[in-house]
Amino acid sequence: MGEIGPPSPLAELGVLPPFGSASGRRVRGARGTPPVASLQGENVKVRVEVIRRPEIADPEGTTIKRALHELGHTSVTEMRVNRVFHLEVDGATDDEIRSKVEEMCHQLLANPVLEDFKIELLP
Amino acid sequence: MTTAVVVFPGTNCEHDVVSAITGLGGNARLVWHRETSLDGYDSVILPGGFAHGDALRTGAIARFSPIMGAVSQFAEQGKPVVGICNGFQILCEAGILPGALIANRDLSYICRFVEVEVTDTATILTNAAEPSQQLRIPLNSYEGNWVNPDGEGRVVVRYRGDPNGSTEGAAAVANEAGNVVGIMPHPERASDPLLGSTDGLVFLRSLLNSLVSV
Repeated sequence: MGEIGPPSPLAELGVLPPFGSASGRRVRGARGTPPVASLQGENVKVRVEVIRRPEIADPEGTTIKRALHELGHTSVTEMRVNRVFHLEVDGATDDEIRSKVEEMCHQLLANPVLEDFKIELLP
Repeated sequence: MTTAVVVFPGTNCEHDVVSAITGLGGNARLVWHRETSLDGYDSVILPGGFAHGDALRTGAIARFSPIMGAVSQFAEQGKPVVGICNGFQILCEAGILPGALIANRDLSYICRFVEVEVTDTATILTNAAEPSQQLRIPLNSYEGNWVNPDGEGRVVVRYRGDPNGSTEGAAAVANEAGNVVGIMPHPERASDPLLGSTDGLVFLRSLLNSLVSV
């Protein structure tokens, strides 16, 4: 890990976990960016892929596959269309952000009858 | 005996539903989705339209509207709950009805009369129909393809033919108790000779019957 700059005042307030914690904490300023003033923590880019389960029909994927076949791309044997959401989420630790986004997926972003989801925190 | 007709932002069939019910001698009033209570009502209809512009998935946002707590309570108490088209989608998203509605098999927005057959008359929306009665009512939907991976629910009205790929040909689905029914075609759009059919009145008359007998 590179230069981390002066300790954040947030750490003294107990808002952030101590350095070196196992929770995969993001260290602000590590990439040379100025400390964020927000008490909420740092915005982290999160990529959420909502994936229709294989046993559920995907009429859009089927139609696109058919079009590819008509264009001569008969090598395509399967086509599924999934959605990707790009979020920026405020949070002190990766674990906290991940659990927030999981809750969002369960509540709203994915329909549990049809879909699974995959959450990825981006650097 | 008054039916609440819930209006979400983007609902567009509420007046047709009220008109069809009052035409049958029933009472119906519009209820904004921000309301939290259905006190004073005996049944509730979630009408068709495009709540929240169908953002994310049809019905996905509407299911969190404040009124939905009272709608769930109605369903649990055995009171009549009907979802028409987008209303059906909202009931599935809310988990009040099983399954989900996905895009039509051929990715076409279907907007025409379809023939349906009533296959179960023991629900609040089909009790006025004869067993196996065939009816002609308009289907107007893009996400009308009911999928049901868990195998729950009762299919109470089926399409004749297969317009959209719906599982078991489902045009209407009820919960186990039969007091909650979602129907994809629009009964209120077949409620006057001027509209080309009055077959939809069978469903709305069933709802009014169920109010008298509750």
